[in-house]
Amino acid sequence: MTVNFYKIKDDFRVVNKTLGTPVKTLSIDFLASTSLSNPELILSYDSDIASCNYMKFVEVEKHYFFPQPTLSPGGRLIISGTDDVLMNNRESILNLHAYVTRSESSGNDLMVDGKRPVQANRHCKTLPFNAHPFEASDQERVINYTLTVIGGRKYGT
Amino acid sequence: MVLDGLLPTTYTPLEHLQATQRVLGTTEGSTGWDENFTNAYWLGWVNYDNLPVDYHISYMSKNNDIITFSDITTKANYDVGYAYGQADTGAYYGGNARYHADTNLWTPWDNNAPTVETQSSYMRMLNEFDINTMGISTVIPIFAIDVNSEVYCMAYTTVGVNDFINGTFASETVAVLSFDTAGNASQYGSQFTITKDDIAGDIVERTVDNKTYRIVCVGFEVVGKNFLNNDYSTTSSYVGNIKPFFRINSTLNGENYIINSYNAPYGSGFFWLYGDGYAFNQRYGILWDYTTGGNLTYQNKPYNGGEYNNVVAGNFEGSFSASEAYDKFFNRILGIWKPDGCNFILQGTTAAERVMIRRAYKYEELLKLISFYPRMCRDSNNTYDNGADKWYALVSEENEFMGELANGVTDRAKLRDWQLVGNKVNAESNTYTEDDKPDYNPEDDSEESGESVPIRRRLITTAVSSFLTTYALSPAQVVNFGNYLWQSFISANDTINQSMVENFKFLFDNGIASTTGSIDVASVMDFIVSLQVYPFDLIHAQCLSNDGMDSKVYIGRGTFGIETDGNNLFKVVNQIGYLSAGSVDVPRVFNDFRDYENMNITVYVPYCGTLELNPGDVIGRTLQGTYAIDMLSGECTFYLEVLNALTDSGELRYTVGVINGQLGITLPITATNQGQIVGRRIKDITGVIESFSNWGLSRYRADTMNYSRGLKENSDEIFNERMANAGRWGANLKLGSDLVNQYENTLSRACIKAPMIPGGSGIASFASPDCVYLQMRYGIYPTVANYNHSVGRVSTRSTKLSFCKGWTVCHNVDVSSLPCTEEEKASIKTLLESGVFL
Repeated sequence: MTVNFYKIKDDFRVVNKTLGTPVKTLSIDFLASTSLSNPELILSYDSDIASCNYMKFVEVEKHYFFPQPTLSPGGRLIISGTDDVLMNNRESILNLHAYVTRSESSGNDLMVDGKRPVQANRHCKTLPFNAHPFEASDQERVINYTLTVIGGRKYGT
Repeated sequence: MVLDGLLPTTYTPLEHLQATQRVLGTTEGSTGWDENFTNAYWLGWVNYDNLPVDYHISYMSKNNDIITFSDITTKANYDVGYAYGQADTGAYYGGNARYHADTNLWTPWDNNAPTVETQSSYMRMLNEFDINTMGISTVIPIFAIDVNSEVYCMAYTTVGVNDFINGTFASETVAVLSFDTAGNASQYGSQFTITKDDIAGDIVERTVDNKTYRIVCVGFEVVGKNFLNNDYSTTSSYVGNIKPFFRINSTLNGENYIINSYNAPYGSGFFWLYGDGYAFNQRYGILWDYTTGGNLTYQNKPYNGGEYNNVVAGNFEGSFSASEAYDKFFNRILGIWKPDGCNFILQGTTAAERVMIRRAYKYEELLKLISFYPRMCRDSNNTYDNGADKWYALVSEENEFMGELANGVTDRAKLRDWQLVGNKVNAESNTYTEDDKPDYNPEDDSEESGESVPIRRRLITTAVSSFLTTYALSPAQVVNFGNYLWQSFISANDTINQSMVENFKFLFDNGIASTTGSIDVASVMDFIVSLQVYPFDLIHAQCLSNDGMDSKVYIGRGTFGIETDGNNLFKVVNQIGYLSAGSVDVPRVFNDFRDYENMNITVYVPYCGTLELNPGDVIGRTLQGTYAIDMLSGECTFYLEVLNALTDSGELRYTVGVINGQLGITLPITATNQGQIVGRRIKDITGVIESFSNWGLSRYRADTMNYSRGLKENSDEIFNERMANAGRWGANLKLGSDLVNQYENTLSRACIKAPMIPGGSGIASFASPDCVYLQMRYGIYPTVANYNHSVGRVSTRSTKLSFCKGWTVCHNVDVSSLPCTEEEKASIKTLLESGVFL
């Protein structure tokens, strides 16, 4: 089995991780059975591998996280892998149809986003209407009284 | 010829952005640019993410300092127009950016490290269109400035299509609309010519009719390409190659002018990517398909005219007939922003008609204007007929250019969503499916429909013409009228003059003919129904007329008139007066849900109170307020209307708020009961006076003096009581002309200058504002860096996950189809529902 060891930076939640160039590639013969979901490798100590955090079983296209390897007596390096289900199934996942409730790339901004932080104080914006009907430019000549009388129509008109 | 007067004096990246984004929002105190994007609107290629920290143009997404352009998959280096920027560092990169396929990075043009773009590089961006397919390449927007500092906006030239295609025209006369600085347009006036050598961006000078114009020629250059026939020789039909002149910021005669042109709408429709090391004709077009909600496509067209590499359907290039191409192209242009308060004005019915802007603009106006200027749409029947189709242009009466949209999209924010999600259109099928439909579908928008329901301006004349007459008087006329009524009643030295008895009878004694005039039925006081004062000039209330009027107030049957001040009087001819409170544009603040959530909008209405509005009714709209006033009672109703809600069927106008109030205040001076009160006392007095006639003169004078003093004292009490109810004054009121003067002086000053609080307190507040105003109170949302990356935008999309990028959270994912173990399915389901990075 060919195993590539990587030092990746991607968050574990990244579906399609950037692996880069393998730090180390080993050809491994399994001396005992191990799970494909959580494989455990016991290797001779290798400083390059000891600095890695990710590996890939090339023949089976399986990817695994692993924490810091464990050093054991006899100069051995024990690596316990955890199945990266996202990376292993990335193509199938990308072809999944799903109802997306949050997305970095698109969204409906008219939907209320309850996660937006909001301050207790508020902003106030005042916008006057563009007319000023109660502003008299010439108070001497303004007509602003009404006198209502009975009748009042000039006789003969 | 390049003239010094309009050479760019400043050219900041900020200005780049303004033009490329065609951002129109303004903020008070700004220079037309809302740096915080709070009032910015976008059209076309502008995309953004996590504003105001970062923003992105076109379909770029920004991640720290790296621009990625993930949907371009062709492995080549590209340069793409438009700007991008980095608000947090203040770095703005205008113009062209370069895509490096090997590293999947974008950098500014000709530079591997981000630098502030320069004008020259910015100018490399080209926008092109094929006049065969578009049929409107004759549209050559030209703007000019009179060297005498008047701003002129020119009509388009109308180079014939064939001439333009064949490049056979040498010059073209451009009709110029002459404007004065007030914006009044005259007929076509001066004319000058442009030539095909007038390259965009150049400033040329033409002198016509003794006026010299500096012309900013958005212009065109004819280049030897024919995309339709895949022929790039110079002998074939030409393709108009519009170079958008970007912007001139200049000071001329002490005034700032910014001229900023862009060949929209097509610039918003597509632009070109240039291949790395491209030959001149090797270009990659991007067509934005708006009709289907946005479609980012591209096409590789080799230089040698070989086969097309139609990566995606929908590009306007191809072997289409003109009508086919038109259909493919035009039906996909979202097209036009309709400014709030503006209408698209059809200027003629054929393509030969000029589209024009009808007024002069300066600075801000011009800035706004040209950002949107050459936007036209065709007839709505979807059948383009060159020469017969209709063109529309933006014409603003309000001088406001904001945004509304045609083609069924009625909301700017929704447009943006529409565009954003449109980026994720199925690139393989060029169509939407249920799986990849956008988050927002404008067709789902049902918030506005139906018919317009404007307020009715009814004409009601019965009451005021048949039984009553309501005169509209100035304060001086009221004084004169009052003086006449009370003249010589009591003289200044508190003695009774000769006509005292007659005056008493004249004023108050029903049925007794006066020696000073011909009273028909009753006394003057019995004929007076009311005297009211209003806090505005009644001339503006659209209810007065002086037709057939003279300077007298007539009462009763009209045989007796009381002179006022010699000027012809007005009378109320419509019992309902209408007073406009003007209008206000209600801006969007955030362009998202926050414009509606946690947003309170109130309108303060002087003399009425406060209206609480539903943000959903008014955001992004123009509101207009109108007082409808009962000119008899002084009561009013304030109507608040939405003017410009757009629907598929056109513009709507309807009322969103109504409130009642009191504009006219009745003065406690002339009502009948007032006359009766005073009249009874007068009759008592006059009866006594008459009984005194047999007495001696000295006794008569002495007793009458006593009675008159008593009258004065009693009347003061009455008036004091009334005045106390009316407000703050009345304690020192006197009878006679002093009284009237007191009323006039106090009321006119107070009421004209200061509105009053309604609710029965009369003249109780002299400190209210003189205009209606709107207040928006909204939450303050701190900017969270990388919010979309860490939290994500709310989505309502059901789609294939490959259409999503970055942080993605799903709901109740069905993982049954995954080819993995149940344990793995469960893990995947959990991860997808808690969030993954795609």
